[in-house]
Formats: sequence, C-alpha cells, structure tokens
Amino acid sequence: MRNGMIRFILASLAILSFSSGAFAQTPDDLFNGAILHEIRIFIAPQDYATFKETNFTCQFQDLDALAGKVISPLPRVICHFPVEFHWKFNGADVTLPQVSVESHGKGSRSNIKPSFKIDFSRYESRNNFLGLRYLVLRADTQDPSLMHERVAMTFFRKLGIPAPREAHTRLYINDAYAGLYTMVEEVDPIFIQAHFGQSDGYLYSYEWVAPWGFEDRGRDSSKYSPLPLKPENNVIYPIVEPIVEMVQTVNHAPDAQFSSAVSQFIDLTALFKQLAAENFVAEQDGIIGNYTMNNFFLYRFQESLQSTVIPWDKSNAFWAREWNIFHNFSSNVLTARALAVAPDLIAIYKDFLRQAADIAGGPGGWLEQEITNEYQQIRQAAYDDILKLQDKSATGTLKPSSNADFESEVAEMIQFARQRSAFVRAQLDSGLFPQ
Amino acid sequence: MRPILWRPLVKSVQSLAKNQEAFLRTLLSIALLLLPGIVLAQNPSDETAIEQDDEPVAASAQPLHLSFKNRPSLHLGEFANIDLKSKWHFDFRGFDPPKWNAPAQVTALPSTPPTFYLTRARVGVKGNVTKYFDYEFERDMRQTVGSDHEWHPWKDNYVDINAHRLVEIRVGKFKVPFGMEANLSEDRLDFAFKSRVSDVLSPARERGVMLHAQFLKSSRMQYQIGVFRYDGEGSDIHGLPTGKRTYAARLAGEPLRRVRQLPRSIRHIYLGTAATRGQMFEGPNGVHGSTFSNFTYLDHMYVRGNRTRSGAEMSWVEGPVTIKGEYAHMSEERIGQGIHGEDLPDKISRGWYLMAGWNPLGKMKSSGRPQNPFLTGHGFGAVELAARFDVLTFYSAPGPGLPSRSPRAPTILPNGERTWTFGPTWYLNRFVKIQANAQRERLTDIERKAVFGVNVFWTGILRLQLAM
Repeated sequence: MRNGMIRFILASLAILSFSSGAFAQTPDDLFNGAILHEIRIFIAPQDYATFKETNFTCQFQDLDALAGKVISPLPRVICHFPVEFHWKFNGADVTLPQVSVESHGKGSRSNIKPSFKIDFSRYESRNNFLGLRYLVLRADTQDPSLMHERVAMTFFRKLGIPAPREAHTRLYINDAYAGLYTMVEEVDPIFIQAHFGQSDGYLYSYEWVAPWGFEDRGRDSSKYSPLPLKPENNVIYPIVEPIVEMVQTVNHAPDAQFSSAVSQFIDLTALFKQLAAENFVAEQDGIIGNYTMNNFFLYRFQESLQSTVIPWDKSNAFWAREWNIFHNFSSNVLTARALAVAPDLIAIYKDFLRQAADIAGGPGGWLEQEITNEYQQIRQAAYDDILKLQDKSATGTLKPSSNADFESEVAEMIQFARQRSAFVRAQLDSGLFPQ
Repeated sequence: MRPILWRPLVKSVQSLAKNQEAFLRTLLSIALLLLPGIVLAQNPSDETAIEQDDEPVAASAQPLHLSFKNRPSLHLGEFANIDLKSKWHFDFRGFDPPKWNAPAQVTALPSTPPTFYLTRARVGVKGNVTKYFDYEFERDMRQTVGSDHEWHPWKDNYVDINAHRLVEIRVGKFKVPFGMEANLSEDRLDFAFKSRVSDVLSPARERGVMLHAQFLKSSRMQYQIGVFRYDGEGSDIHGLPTGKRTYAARLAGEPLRRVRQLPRSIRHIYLGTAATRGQMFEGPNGVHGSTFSNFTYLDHMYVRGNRTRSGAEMSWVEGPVTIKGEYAHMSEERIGQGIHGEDLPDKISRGWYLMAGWNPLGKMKSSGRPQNPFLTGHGFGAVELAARFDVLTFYSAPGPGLPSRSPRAPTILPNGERTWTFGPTWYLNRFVKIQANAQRERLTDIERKAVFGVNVFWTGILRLQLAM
C-alpha cells in the first residue's frame, strides 16, 4: 500500500515534470530553422540490428501487400521498434520514454544512414509530441547538399502552399553521432486540420509503383487505390469512387468544359500553383517529374468530391537551372489537356511561376539567402557526418558523399538561386510552348 | 454503410449487455429452477463418455470384422481395432466492422473477409492394440481440399501405453493438460469457438510425454503430468514456437463426491486445477491480444525467462442446465528487455469465463448427444441455448515510469477485452450439429483501438458440423 502510494506520487511528479517540459515548447520551436537542433534516440542494440536487417523487407512487403499479393508472415519481419526519444532545445531535454520508430523512404532507403519515422501515437492513440503524431528524420541520402528538401519546402510555404515544415538536426543514436538529418512534418490528419480546418475527409499518399500520368485505367476502383493512391485514413470504409470519376473526367470531359468539369474533382488553382512551384525549383521527381506522377498526397475534402494536392519529398529539386517551364506537361493527361484546351489554367500556372520568380529573386535574393543561411547552419554538422550518401544523377545507387561533394552541390544551388528566376521570366516572356 | 446482417440481433444484445449483472443473475435463477432430472457429470474433456455412448456393435466370431454402426470400424478380433474418425466444420461468418486482417498473411490494409469457411476437415484413426496400447492419429485436410492455411495440420497423434492402473504413458503430439475448454474436442464445444481466454492463454497441442490416469474412482479424480518439446501451439507466432521445453500438470475430478453432507446436486460438481512452466525464446514472443477478426490491440511484448501458467476450472451439469467456468493466469518474465537493457517487471495475462447452457427442447445424454435423435431416430434431437462471458486482461507488475503500450514498456498499460458469446445449438443426432453464434468483443483500452474509432467488434457464425 505504502509502495503503491510512493509510486503514485512519483508517477504524478513525472507527469508534471514531463508536462512542464513538453508544453513549454511548440511545433514552431521544433521546426525553428534558425537553429541546428539535436535529437537523441535510444534503441535496444538488438532492435537496431533487426531494424537494419528488415529495413528493405518492410518496404517491399508493404507494397506487395498493397498490391494484393498474399505474403506469408514467415519469416517473421519486425518493422516497428520502441525507442526513447530526446529533443534538446534551449537547454531543456524534452523526453518521450516509449515511442515507436520504423524505417522510412523508397529510393533513399539505406542501412548505412537510414531514415526514420518516429510514431508518437503507436502505443497511445492520443499521444503526441508538441501536437504532432509523427516526425520523419530524413537522412537526405540522395542529395549531396543535404538541403534540397528543406529549401524547397520553405520556398513552397513562402508561396502559400501547404507544405511540411522542416529543420535540420544532429541525430545521435545510443549516444553515437548518426549524422545530419532533416526533421520533416508528416502529412497526416493533424497537418490537414491545421491547413484546411478539417480532417475527416479522405487522405491518400501516392505510392509510385509504375508510371502513371492520369491515363484512364477504367472504372475498376482497384486500379487506383490502394495503389497507387494508398489510403492514409478511413481504411475500413474507403470511398474510392470519386477518384475513378476524377480520372474519367480528366480523360473524357469535353474540351469546352474541361476546367469546370475537372475542378469538381480537383482544386485546380492549388494544383497549378504547386506545379508552378515544383517547376520553378526544377523538381525532377514530382507530380510531373521525369518518372510521371510521384511524391504528393491527395486529400479529398469531407462531404465533397473535390481533392487537393500536398507536396512531399523534394530531394531531387534544383535539378537544372534551365528546366523548361512546361517540362513534362505533355506526359500527363491533365496538364497536356490543360495546355491544349484550357488557357485559363495555363494563365494561372504562368502567374504562379512569375510569383515564384519574384519571391525567389535573383543574385542576393530570398532563395540565395535561404541557401546561404542553411549552409552556414549545417556546414560543421555535415562535415562531421561521415555516413553522408548521395545519388546526384538519380542512378538508383547510393554512394558515399564527401565534404567536397557537399560544397560543390551547395555552390550549384547558389548558382541556381542566382539564375533561375531570370531563366523562368525569359521563358514566360517569350510565349514559348512546348513542342 | 455498415452491413445490416446483424443489426436487429446486435441491438437486442447490446441492450442486454448493458445489464450484464442482471443477465447473469437471470441465467443463474433459471439454472436453479431446473434442478430436477439429474444427469451425472463427468470430466468435460474426457472422451471415454463418447465411446461408452456408442451404439453396441454385434460381436463377430470372425477374426476380421468391419462395422459401420457408429463409424467405420475394423476389428481384428481381440487383438486390435481401428476406428475411422472425421470432423467437418462448415462456417458462414459475418463481421462488423466488415474488415479483417487475414490470418497467415501480411496485410498493408484490412481486407474484406470471405463469407464461407471450411474451418475443419479432419480425418483420422483411433483405436487400440491389445489392452495395453491406445492410439490416435488425426490430420486436418483443409489445405488439401481448400485454400485455407493451417500452420499445424497434424493434430492428435499419440500412443497411450497402459502400463498400470495408476500409470498410463502418452507419447506423441496431443493437448497440453491445461484448460478445460482447451482440452475439449472441437466437435464437443458448446459454442462455435472457444473463449478468448482459452484461445490465448492455453498452450493447446504439443509434442511430449505425459503420465496420466484416473485414481480415487469414487471421486473420478485424474492426474496428468508431462513434459513437452515447446510451449504449445497456442502461444505460437505464425507456427513458430515461442517457448522452449515446458512442464505441465493437471489434477481434476469430482472431489466433493466424498463429502456426503453436501446436497447431491453439489457433490458432482467437477473441479480442476493445472499449471505449466517453461522458458521462452528471447524476443517479441509474449502472447498478444487480438480480436477474432485479427486486429491486434496488444503487441507481442519482448520477453526473456520463464512463462508460467496456473488455472482453475469448474463444471456443473444438472438436468438441462450446464454451468462452466475457468480462470487462467499467465506470467512472462522480461529479463533485460528494457530499451537500456534493464530488467522489466513480468507481463501478466489473466482471464476467466463463465458460461451457462440450457436445453429447452429435447434431452441430452451425458456424452453430449441427443437422446432422441433426428433422422437416425424418431425425435427432433435437442436444442441448447447458451451464453458465455469471458474477460481477458493484459498488464504488468508495477515498474518505473508511466504505464505504456510499448512492447518494452516497464509498466504495461492494462488492456484486454470482454466478450459475450451466445446462441442456440441444434444437436440433430450423433453426427450432425448446427450452431448459430454471435460474439461481441469490447476492447477495454479505448485509447489503443485495433481500428480507429471502433472498440466493439461483432462476429456472427452459422456452423454446420459433421462428425463421427
């Protein structure tokens, strides 16, 4: 009885001390780009070994299961592990003693420098960390600058696009420096609520499994979901039919009514704004990237047929300074038809491109300043990171990245910032259309 | 949006379930009012009653004699006999929510379950060789005749050596002596499915050696003590054992028969107790909690050390009324399983169930067969109405820190489920039985939902059983 009382008092004190630590900070503090953060995670050594063993299996198993393949649970594959999470901020050590971690990423997945997804609510559905249920710790294994992702998303938000917040952090695993990472806000119902004032609609993540550019796959809803559009909520009662109708309309709406018909299903203003932003930063792996559609979320508003898009994973941004403003427009049914029959949409697109050029500026402009600031902030942490990887040419193979590679890519980005706006404006003014 | 299959049934039962205590009181009152018509109780998991209830087979002077009276049976004079046995369960099931995680399959998203299942397709032989050896061999043929997965197709496969009146030696694969319901043959269950307590906490079948016999015949006492290769198929994860060599012991019977001062109806109450102990394989091998539709609400905890079970069981049959109950407790050690390698308090899994059955139509024999069978006789068979309430809870001894659901949590936040099962069973004759059951599972930890926004799971089952 006495022991029980002591435990109760200790537990109460723990709650109070944790609460005071946790509630003093906000998500804005966590994604405060003005500082280089420090995160420490502790994981049982045998679990970290298992994590690396199952790192790739978990990814493919999940995709195969989504594709409807029957996958035996043997050999037994563990994909989630309990960890102790610490965030050092302003001298405080904000700790969550039992949260879950799983591996993260597709082409960027690596056992040398793995990416992590921290799940604060796996063991407690109402648990959160500063209001967040998830936090992605991205290893930036494809990007030698370690900055593409954060700079692009910061730029998107500056353009008014609902994009995940990001900040750099030093990551320590079991007290050993694991490298420089980017903390990324997850697109989940909390994110949706914060940006759209609702979260009971239908959220899908786009899982690239084969090239698809909105071509008509028929009226069989299984051709669209759970792959490539994987439900992220409402998994028991998913309603896929509006997606089928959306694709049918994109493909078969009469030319004269294309904009009005398609806008029933997609917020076209938001879509073309994001297309403009992605094009401006020369995103090679986005909605109309070089691999057809990829790296976005689709959210269908509650009690509505209309959906909107949310950007994700900009590792392959800043691909080329002279990236045509209509790059790949013809490879996607929606953009191709817009180009052919919807000048109103192309006008919106051009307006947003011009806005993007204005905000980014030229030499010494906002974009160059952002790149310079981030570079100065992370330089030493990047130098200390001996596990840096890169795949600058998107070959599909990750290779070690040196400090020289890092410096070289940052220099490329600065050149991009100085010259990209002028190039875009020149193309806009020329009135050129893709052949 | 949701299926209307069970809606009327669900509504009436939901209102009933709100007053669980009143419902139990009502059942007990009915039981007490139906005391006449005594049927002698026996060990509920004792199969000998079934054999004693078989129709007599005419003796034959021939050394080789084939009979089909109760089942195909070949008699080799006094030397041996071979009985063919078979059990078939054809199920129609419905779920609400109408999704599940298919067993024996990795699923990224819940899928729509099928409606029809061939749950059992067992074929085997059973018999004796001289008076010294009994044997049984049984295999589930579901994978052969259908596509259903079966981790352990070989079921009871053992030889009993009748060495002495007080010592019989059973060698092979058979049920670990723990749990009354778990040791009952699947074709004799009062419900289509065992309680969640029996499913989760009982070891089920395993390879081993066991000494067993009846003693104190007047009290119908029996003992079972054995050593087994692993911890039993009940605690397997995808067919892989989670525990090493396991020891088990059980003592059961009707000890109150000797207490003449007690009323007769009380004296033949069946009581039993059992325990098991064995080491576990290190890793995420603790028993886990999941709904009948396979949604996990408690993960496999990381364990290392001993797994210990203890249990008690009770059965009381009085005329048309049956009351049964069991209690089971399992502790699993977690030595060095903290995130920093520290020892964690034992994980505790605990559960009990109470069931009541009543025969409003027809009479049943002690073997569980109808006195006036349908088709094979001139009667209607018998109908039993039954209800069961079972409670399964997972927690840990108090440890440092706040309670959590993490598989390495020092203090495990209690979680579990409370399940109502009810429905009629129509025993047509010795070969055929039809059961219609509804099962309502309610998860107690509303923050750890198997499906977001849902903590009540319904399962409806219509089963046709053919067995001999």
